[in-house]
Amino acid sequence: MPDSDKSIVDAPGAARSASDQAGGRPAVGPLGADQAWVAEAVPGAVDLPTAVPRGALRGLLRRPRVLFPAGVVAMVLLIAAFPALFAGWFGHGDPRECNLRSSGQGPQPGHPFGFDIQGCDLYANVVYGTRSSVSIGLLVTGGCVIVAVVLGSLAAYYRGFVDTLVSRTMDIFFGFPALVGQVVILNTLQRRDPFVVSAVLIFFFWPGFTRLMRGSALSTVDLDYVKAASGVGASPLRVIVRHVLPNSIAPIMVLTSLSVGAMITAESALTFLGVGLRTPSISWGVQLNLAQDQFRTHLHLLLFPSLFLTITVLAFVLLGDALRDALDPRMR
Amino acid sequence: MTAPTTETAGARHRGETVLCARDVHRIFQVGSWLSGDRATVHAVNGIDLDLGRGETIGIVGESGSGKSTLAQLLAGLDRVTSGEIELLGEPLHTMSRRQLRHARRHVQLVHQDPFTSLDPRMAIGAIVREPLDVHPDVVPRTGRRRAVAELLEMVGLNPDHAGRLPHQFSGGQRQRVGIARALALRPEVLVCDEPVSALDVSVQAQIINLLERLQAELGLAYVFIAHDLAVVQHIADRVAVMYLGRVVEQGSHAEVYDRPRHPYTKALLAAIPKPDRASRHASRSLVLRGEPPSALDPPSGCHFRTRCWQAQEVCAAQSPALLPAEPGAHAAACHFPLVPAAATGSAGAAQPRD
Amino acid sequence: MSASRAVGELTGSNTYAPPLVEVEDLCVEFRVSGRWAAAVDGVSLTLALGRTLAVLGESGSGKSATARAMVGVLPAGSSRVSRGQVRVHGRDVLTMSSDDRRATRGPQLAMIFQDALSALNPVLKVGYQIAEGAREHHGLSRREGRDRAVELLELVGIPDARRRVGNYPHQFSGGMRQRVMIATALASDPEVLIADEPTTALDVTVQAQILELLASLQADRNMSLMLITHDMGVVAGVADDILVLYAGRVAEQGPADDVYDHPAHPYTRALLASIPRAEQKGKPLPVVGGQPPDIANLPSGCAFRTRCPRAAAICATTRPPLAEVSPGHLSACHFAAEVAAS
Repeated sequence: MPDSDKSIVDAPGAARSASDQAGGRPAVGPLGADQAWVAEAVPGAVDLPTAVPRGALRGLLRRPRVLFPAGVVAMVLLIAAFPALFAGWFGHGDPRECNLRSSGQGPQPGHPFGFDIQGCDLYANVVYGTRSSVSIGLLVTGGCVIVAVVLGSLAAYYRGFVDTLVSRTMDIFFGFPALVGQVVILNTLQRRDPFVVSAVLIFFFWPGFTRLMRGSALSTVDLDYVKAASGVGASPLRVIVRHVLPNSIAPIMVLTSLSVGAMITAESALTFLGVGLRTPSISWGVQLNLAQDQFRTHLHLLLFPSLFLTITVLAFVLLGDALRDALDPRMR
Repeated sequence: MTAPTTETAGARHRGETVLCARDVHRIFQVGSWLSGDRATVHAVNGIDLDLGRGETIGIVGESGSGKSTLAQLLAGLDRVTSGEIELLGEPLHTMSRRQLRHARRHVQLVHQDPFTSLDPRMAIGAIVREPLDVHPDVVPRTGRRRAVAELLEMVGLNPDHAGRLPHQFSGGQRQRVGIARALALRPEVLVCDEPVSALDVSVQAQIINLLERLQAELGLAYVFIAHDLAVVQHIADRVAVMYLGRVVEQGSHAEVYDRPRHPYTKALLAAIPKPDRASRHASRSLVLRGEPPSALDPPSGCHFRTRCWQAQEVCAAQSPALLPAEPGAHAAACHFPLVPAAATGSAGAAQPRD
Repeated sequence: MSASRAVGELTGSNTYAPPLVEVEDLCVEFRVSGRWAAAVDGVSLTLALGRTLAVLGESGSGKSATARAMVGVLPAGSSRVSRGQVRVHGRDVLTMSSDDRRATRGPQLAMIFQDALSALNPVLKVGYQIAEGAREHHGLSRREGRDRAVELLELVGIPDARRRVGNYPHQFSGGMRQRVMIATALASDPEVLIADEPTTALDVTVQAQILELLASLQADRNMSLMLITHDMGVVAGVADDILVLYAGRVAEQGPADDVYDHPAHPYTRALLASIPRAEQKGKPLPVVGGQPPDIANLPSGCAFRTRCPRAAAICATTRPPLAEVSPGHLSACHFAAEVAAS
């Protein structure tokens, strides 16, 4: 039975004043004794792992590992924002100008991706599809981050009942088969516009983000400077916004980039299954759905949308990876 | 500095009382009913304290003594389970959150760990300024920058460095920033929770000097918490020694250091490192056995008896009260308080009180 | 047991002891914002059987880095040894293959750290960790290893050792954990024990116990002990030799009696003077003014000159050489002789 090492303060994860724990006093903080001697010798060499180091973002773009994915992502965002600028590069650029006589034809001058079964220019469709796919990706990620930041920080700051409520709710969602849930809900809904699909995706993905945020915030909330801020008389809102959030948000920032790609894929999957967006919406998922029966005879119908999808998701994922490594204090 | 006053238990001091605690208890519930291992920890067990304007009371205790918990209580950061705390005459223990917020102007806490007590993402100028932003009526907005510069100067830092981040400073300098932040609202009382423990010995002296200078200039009262008597011996006017939630000895500086009555105090005094190699061997004989017991399951009666070389049966049966050994002496909680011997080396003959 | 130890026991004296470990002109660099800066600069020391060397210095003085370079546990990637030799029994360990080097850790060099909680593996039982060293270097079986672990726990003063050998590190209090770490270090029967601030994180009354334990273990096993600390008072009674580091450089070194009684470097003087004493009440404590040095930005010449009451022009231009003040007692100060005399 652990005898003398129970922390006096009842708080899971409380790295509280260890002078009240039998046998020792903290010579160092969360850096650990192992790092502290380095920190004293070389100020600035070690940083708390959940904080975004100030000035870290400045030098980021100079690294090729960050520059290339960032460039591709920027390109994709540009295409999503202004598809009309890009669609007309090779041909007429109107995704809805369809001529059944051209149905299923492969790549040819003026139409680098060929035509789909309806006879619409596939290239224009893929370009316009970027908008809905990427916007869903951004919308869902943004929504999840907002929910996570709010719930996660509140749960970590107030603990007790609030934390229990949030945590148990998360547990319930985790226990639920997400894909089945999404399919069922979308099947019952009539409207299938990007907002509805995004809402459903947010509904199922918020726990993952929130769990990460809560964990990160928990380790920050116990640190002395947060207590010092309350000690000065700052309101809980101020303490959370000015002290807890900036210091615990780094893991979420990294997840954000990775998840945009994942959400795009999620939407495509749902649409492929027939429960996501529907025609006349234009999205890669729709195109993939339409291509699934035809691709043996018309390979280009599958090839080009999936190429675009893959490159986009890969760019986001690589960017997230590179961001994470760049923000990792040990690598600096 | 100040003329020594003859003081007895209960401590009389010059000037008004700025902070006073009466029979303060703080009990924690540890563990949850879900996991089945609930327990209570009586972290602070009946503490009385009386702090006068401009004076320093040193509270010394090792792990599990409850001194950090006491610091939180005195600074108004935690609620007492029972007992009273009065700050400048106002009852701290019954204040609403709003009243507490206002009370922050009069008592501030200096934290222990210079690594974690400053927000790593804020410039030190912003850190020192924050109290002024939270309480906008103390210094008008236009004057805050000047106020921050003054505070930084006061603690011995260069105001031009106000834009730098904490990690660019050494431990001692960070502690100075923490002190500047604590002084921003011009409190009357500073509760210093082991302010020098995480610093090198050579830097400790600097910070102690700084605190003393500030006390002389600003008339501050300190509750100075430490884990050994060496640190406190220079700065404290009065000393209280804590063991497992209780005060075991309390008196003026001279009384506790020169005429300790409690065995634990004697052991702590013996543990003060002396650079003199000869005297080191003499105090070797007083190395205490064992470790501070767990606060979850304290020994019955006198908590110290498991490590005390003169423990008797009555020590297990009855908890000794904090009383003067004889009239005119300072208070010690021991059934057999030590009789001050002529030489400081020997353990001193013990004499039962009852 | 090695031959030199046997000799030491036969002769019964420890005034002459052949050096076990010789560090010569060690230089360790850290990576700071893209550049390499010297955290340890030209440190030489000797460890001999039966003698205790206390390495003193503030945080950032390079004392930990020196020890870790000797044992070979510097943080990878951001640090490197750029110069110097560490000879154990005459062989330079810095140039050894990693396998050979590993073989020296344990039977020859063992190290204990400041924070036992992070130095011990929290998911392994204590007995396992202690026996690991013994099994690795002495080829003991599991049962033999366990018995040895119990033996060692008793040796370091853990009561009820037979039962506690199955406990996890978090089930021990701080002082006990430190003892467990000492037992782990002793498991491979080392000749040299390096203790990096072994008592800094402990309660005062426990500090005294641990120091006493280390001293008695050293005497019984005729080990060499290297104690690293920032507190001169703590080592006063136990050190045979002293090495004072400042900004990675040796400020003063020599027999403890000489250094304590006739400090020949202003920094050592200041360290001795800043130990709080009750008699000083009412006057400000004497302090070493200023801030600890930034190794990436050291002052020219003598690194201590910006905080030294005796600094003169020569201190800025010329780095003071480590020179002998009296036999065996060296100091890196242009005015060493005057400082020692005052």
